[in-house]
Amino acid sequence: MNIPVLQIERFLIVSVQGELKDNDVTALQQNLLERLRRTEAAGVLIDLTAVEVVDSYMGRLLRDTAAMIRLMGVPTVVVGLRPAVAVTLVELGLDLPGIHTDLNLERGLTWLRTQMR
Amino acid sequence: MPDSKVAWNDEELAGLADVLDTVERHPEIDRQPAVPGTQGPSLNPVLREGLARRDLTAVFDAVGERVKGLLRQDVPFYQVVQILHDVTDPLYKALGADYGRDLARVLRAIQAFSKFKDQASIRAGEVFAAQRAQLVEEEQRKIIRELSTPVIPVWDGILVMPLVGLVDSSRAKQMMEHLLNRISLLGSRIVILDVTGVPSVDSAVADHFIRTTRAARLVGARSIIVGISPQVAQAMVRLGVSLEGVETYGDLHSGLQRALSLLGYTVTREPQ
Repeated sequence: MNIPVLQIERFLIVSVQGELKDNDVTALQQNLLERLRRTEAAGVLIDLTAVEVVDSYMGRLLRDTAAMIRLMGVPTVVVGLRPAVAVTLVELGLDLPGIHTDLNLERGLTWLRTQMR
Repeated sequence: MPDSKVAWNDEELAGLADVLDTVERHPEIDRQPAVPGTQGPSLNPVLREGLARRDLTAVFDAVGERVKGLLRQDVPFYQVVQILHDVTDPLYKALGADYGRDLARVLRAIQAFSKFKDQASIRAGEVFAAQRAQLVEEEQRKIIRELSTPVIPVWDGILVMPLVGLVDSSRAKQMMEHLLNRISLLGSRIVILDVTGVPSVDSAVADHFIRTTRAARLVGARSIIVGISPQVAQAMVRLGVSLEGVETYGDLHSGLQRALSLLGYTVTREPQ
């Protein structure tokens, strides 16, 4: 499954749909980081509204991806975590410290805009 | 436990055997009244077996199970009992037709069926009472649970969750789920956990406060904890629990003021 990376204004948006396989994720990481460099994006938003379950693998991956993006000097926001997913992440100890999280796409974008100033 | 060991003497068993024969000979007797979808497999074979073993325990157990099933399908209790009583008239008629010449035998059968009906009704009543008690208990537990974890939207974007009394692990879990669902439903930005009413914490509960604030952050709400009592503060420090990254205020009042100012509200009082 190829996960598209969309661009709105100067932000890259990744909407993860359903279950991710190992290959998908590494491809996504690669793709996203390349795009970041090419487009000089000002922020990345990862939308997990459609994700109903996470496991430790996916949680770690999410954390790592966000950390990589941050290393490239771009703010990241993760939005749309369902309550059950949030509980799982906290229980796994993968509660994305240092990464901004927000309720939904709209609020995530608003936050990213404030980071540009 | 229900007393299914009520003794059945030879006379009664013989009478019941006649009843069963008659029921099987006249299929119209067993035709259950129209409560849609409630007709289960016939209990006649179970009764036949019980008669052969001269022990009806299994028969009444099966009756109890059937009643349980009917109640679970929301068949009213009176209808459940009615099913049994509806059999009576056609049965007595059929008994008259089958053994009419032998009045003693008809009488024996009627007495046996009457006893059977009584015992089946008693069993049905017991099942009903037990189920009702269980229902009430579940309902109460649910109400208590909800009462003990209220989440109050005090302002646009601000939720207050007052905690009262001892928090145990199951309640803490419940509380967290409830809170997260509310945050995600209302799109709240700030959650104020008011622990004024919590007399003491252990490490599990303290840990839970932290998890709750972390999970709340993941769904997009910032947490403020208010009302930590001296005892709780001492306990938390001794336990080595740090609420780093979580704002704390002495009372709900200050917490609410902080929340309002975080959201850009200013409260002013008009001169009287």
